[in-house]
Amino acid sequence: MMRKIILFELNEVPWRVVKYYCDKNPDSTFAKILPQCFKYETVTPDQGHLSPWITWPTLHRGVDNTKHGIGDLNQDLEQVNKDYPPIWQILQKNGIKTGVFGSMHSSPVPSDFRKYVFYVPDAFAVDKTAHPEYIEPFQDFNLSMSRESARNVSGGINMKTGSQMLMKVPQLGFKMNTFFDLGKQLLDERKRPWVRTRRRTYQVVLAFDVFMKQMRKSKPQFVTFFSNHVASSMHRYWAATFPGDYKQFDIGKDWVDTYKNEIDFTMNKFDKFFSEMVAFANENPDYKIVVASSMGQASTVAELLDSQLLMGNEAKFFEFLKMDASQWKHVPSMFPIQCYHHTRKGRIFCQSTETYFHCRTAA
Amino acid sequence: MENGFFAVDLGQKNLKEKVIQFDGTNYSFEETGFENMEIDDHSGSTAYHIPEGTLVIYDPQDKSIKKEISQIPSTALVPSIVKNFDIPMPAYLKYQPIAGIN
Repeated sequence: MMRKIILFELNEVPWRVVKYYCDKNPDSTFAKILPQCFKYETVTPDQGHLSPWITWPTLHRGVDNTKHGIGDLNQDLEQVNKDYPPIWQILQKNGIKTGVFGSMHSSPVPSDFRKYVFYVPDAFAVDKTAHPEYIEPFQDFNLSMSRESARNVSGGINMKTGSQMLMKVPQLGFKMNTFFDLGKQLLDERKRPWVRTRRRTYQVVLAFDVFMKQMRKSKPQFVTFFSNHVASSMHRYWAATFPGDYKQFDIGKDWVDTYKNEIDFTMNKFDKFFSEMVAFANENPDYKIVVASSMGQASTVAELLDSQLLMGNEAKFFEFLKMDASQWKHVPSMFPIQCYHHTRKGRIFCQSTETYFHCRTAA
Repeated sequence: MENGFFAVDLGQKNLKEKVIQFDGTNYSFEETGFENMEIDDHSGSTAYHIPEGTLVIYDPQDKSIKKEISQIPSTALVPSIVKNFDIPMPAYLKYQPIAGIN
């Protein structure tokens, strides 16, 4: 019997973190429901360096990166979408009522995106296009906040996109609890400025409200929802949560004490999402919930950073390379990678390592 | 980079030399458009990517207790979803049933 499927994409969360969270929070919905779930450890068969913009297309398309060849955000997908289309494209073209929310490589929108029940492209989309159109102010706000908080979290709120989004609140579906939670966060930031790092998580809290409003409204047969909020926290604060993982640990107790609960904080938000999805599936038992991570994370080096090199003024960078504004165009990507489309003739070689960046030109 | 797509991998950490070398000449960060940003929370990348991930399936019609965790390739999910919807299976997909979906 055909069943409806919610595919929740909990980027990069490994079993290690799931077990850690459930052991520590036995009263959480995830801990209580997990014994009833079918459980798998997935292994991504991709070759070379692993990135979410590689492992998600592998999961979405059912072939590894030696076949799909996707290695960067915003690369041209026209041919690969014909040869190895993502699952949402296969289903939509076969008449299955499908919705997409933020999945990796869902931008640029396909030509038939209005035929989907809803279609909200990933956070690397070049513009705010979304379906239904009233979601666009949310997407605009979401994109602006993502770009302003690539490395350090922006202390401001984009008032232009934020106010446009607020005008659409009734249609978007933000819940009162979400507003209370946001208010609490803003107050907390005044007392403890370091909790600003949690703003990354609140973007997905808002997104999930929009997603569930669409779910209740249109009851699609297959949907995706992508979240990077736990992955982002694991990358930054793994050493604070799991200090025992490291042979050499030169990080001070103050930093560990400050950030040791940040992975828990993000998993708590996931638990709220999971609770809501379970309640929805229990009310609509033709649904199944599939939570996938595409790959996992583990400890690397325990180190603190004072600084990182980034692109501060890209117009100046290209002016320096003797390229005028008509010859290049910024393409959204994930820090620390910068991507551009360009029309320059000749070659520029850029070589970089963790401590070295070098450019040279050639005819 | 050449005619088309150009990606630069930045994020170099705790640089001691505040110059960029270009065509053999040193320039300041400001001259080249780069910025050596101070990191607010001093966090580095203390975790990295591994191939093993998580897949959890909740079926409200089957709440029996399931203890074991099996291992599958991440490429197995799409064919199982295609099979669930009873639509034509693309030839390149390798179908293997996933308990909980099929």
